[in-house]
Amino acid sequence: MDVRLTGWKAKNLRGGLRDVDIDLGDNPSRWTLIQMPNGTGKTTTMELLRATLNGVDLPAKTVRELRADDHVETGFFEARLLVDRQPYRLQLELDFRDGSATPWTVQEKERGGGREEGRNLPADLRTLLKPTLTELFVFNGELATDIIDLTKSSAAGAIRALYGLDTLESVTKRVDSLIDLEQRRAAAITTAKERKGINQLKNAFDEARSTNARLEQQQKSTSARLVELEQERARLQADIQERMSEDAGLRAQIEALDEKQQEVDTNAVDLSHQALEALRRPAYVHPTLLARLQNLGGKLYELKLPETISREFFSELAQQERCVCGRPLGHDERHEIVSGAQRYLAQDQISVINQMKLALRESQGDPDELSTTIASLQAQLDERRRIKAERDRLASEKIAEGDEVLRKLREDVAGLSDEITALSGTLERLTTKDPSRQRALRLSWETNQPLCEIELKARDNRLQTATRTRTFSLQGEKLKAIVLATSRQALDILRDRVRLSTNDKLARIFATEKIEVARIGGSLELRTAGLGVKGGASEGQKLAIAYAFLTSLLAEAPYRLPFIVDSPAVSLDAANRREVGALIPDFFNQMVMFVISTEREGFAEAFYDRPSADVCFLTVTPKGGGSVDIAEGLTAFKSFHSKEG
Amino acid sequence: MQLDPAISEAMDAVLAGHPDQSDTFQRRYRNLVELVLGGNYQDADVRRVMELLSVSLEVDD
Repeated sequence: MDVRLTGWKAKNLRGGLRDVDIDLGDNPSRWTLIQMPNGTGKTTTMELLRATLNGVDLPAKTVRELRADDHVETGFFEARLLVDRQPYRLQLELDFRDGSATPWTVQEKERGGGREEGRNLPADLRTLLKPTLTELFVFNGELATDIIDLTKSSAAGAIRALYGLDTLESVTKRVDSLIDLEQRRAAAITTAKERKGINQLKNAFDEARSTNARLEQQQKSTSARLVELEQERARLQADIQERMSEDAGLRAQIEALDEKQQEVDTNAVDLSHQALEALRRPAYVHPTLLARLQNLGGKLYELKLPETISREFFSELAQQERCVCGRPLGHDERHEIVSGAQRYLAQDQISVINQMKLALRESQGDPDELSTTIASLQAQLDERRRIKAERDRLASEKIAEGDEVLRKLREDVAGLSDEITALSGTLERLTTKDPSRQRALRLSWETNQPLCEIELKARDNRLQTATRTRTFSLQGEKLKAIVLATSRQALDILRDRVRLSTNDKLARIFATEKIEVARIGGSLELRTAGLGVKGGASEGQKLAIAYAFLTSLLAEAPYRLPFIVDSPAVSLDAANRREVGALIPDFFNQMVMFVISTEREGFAEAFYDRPSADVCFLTVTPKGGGSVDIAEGLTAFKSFHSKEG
Repeated sequence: MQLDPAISEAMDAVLAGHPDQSDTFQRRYRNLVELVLGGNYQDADVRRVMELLSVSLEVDD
């Protein structure tokens, strides 16, 4: 990505920036030297270039301090850029009354351009233009000292910022938030996320599973025993029947009872079917239910469905060239219409709902049918009990007459019935799904199989959730470790690459005293060749080292950025100034330098003989009243005199 | 966006230390780094790469 500065504009700002427009042209020169006397807004311009580019909110106090004078209420600053030849204007509207600074972005292109509030730059450039990096290429002179200050980490910070290693490491925060989100989702089911908690859940699951197996086994053996006992009882009852039928006096009565029993059983079956049939038809269940159904049908009938706006309508519309409103339909519009169509009912669904509405409204039936049928069924069951009582009475009379075989048979049946009743109770406790029976019998998951299955499922769910959460968390930790290792490894490689390149430049700058970078930790650790660690450096040396480092850094960066610097040579001695002036500019695609007249000697002179197409000389002179005169060309540049000169 | 060779070299070195991880993870991880450095990634991209990592639940807490 290639970024160039094509100019800036300032209005109503302090330091002589009442109305300044510096235009570097659509194809700016590689080197621009802007000669401005002290007090004409160099520092403010640098600050506002940084603020405009990095888009960080300016404090209200800072905004108010930018005010030109008490007569102005608003101010303005605009930086103009070419990003891969695409023009962008980044603006700051300043309101001195409330201390606000509003960023705007103007993008000039045929489609989708215009002025928008906020910082609307390509995503990777937006990521790049953070304060730590902006200070590198809109160079903050204090960095020159910080870069070799062993207590600071400006050098490593610069490498990390430029190559996006800090952005890469920010992935770890995303990972943390994803894990946190997953754990919060899972918290509704289980809070276990560590191995110990998962082991506890596993033990709990195993406990429920073995209980379920035990209950299942009990149910099977109880059911099998019950079948055996019922068969045995049926056999004994048949023996009783046969024994009583042997008595000629009882035979007619028993046959009559058998006939009656058959009739009652048939009736009971028919009535049961009838009652179940009535239950399936709501209109036959109860008068209140019928009334409510008819009422609901009436209300639904009033709420008409949009019969003409069905899903098919939108599907057909998406195939048209134009919308019904006349506007042309493009790919995006068609996609929106088709996905929006899912919110509407299809024609067949509308038809079904209309039939349901009609059926509800026209609900008819005998609402007393269910209660009448159940009363009849009850009467048949009462009759069955009466027949049984009659059989028992006949058997009792025969036993009373001395029939010991019959007595023994009846005692055996009674014994079996007691056992069957007990086993039926056991089986009910094991198998009932009826919540009211479960409560009445005080059943738990340890004694009732349906409850045990529910508990088993819940424990399985908790275990699965915790295992998933734990796995996700471990995956996150692993990804974080890999990301951080990548960043550390890349930093080491980049440190060494930048160190070698910096030393190459330092060898050319410091011809007499050989200074080189021994190591880049947080900062540059210097040594004097042959003498070991270098304790300190002069201001000029610091600046030269900083330039060598920055040019090495920026020259090989994945982005071509303009280098903008205020008074680049003011603290360098004449010899270093010439070296810096001769060497540094070649490392940048674009360099904008604010200079004062004293920097012409040695430093600016290095540009005089460069091809005129590559160098732009501007001289800014205050005219009074806050306005400035901007003169272009080498002649004006050379002849300018100010109090610094 | 073309990755700086230093970043690619660092990724190669780090991924070489994780031979147990699948080729899909390694490919997606490289892709994620490109997206991150291009300032154009979402939580779903991170989640997808995370879920491709094989881990042992027996790791000590």
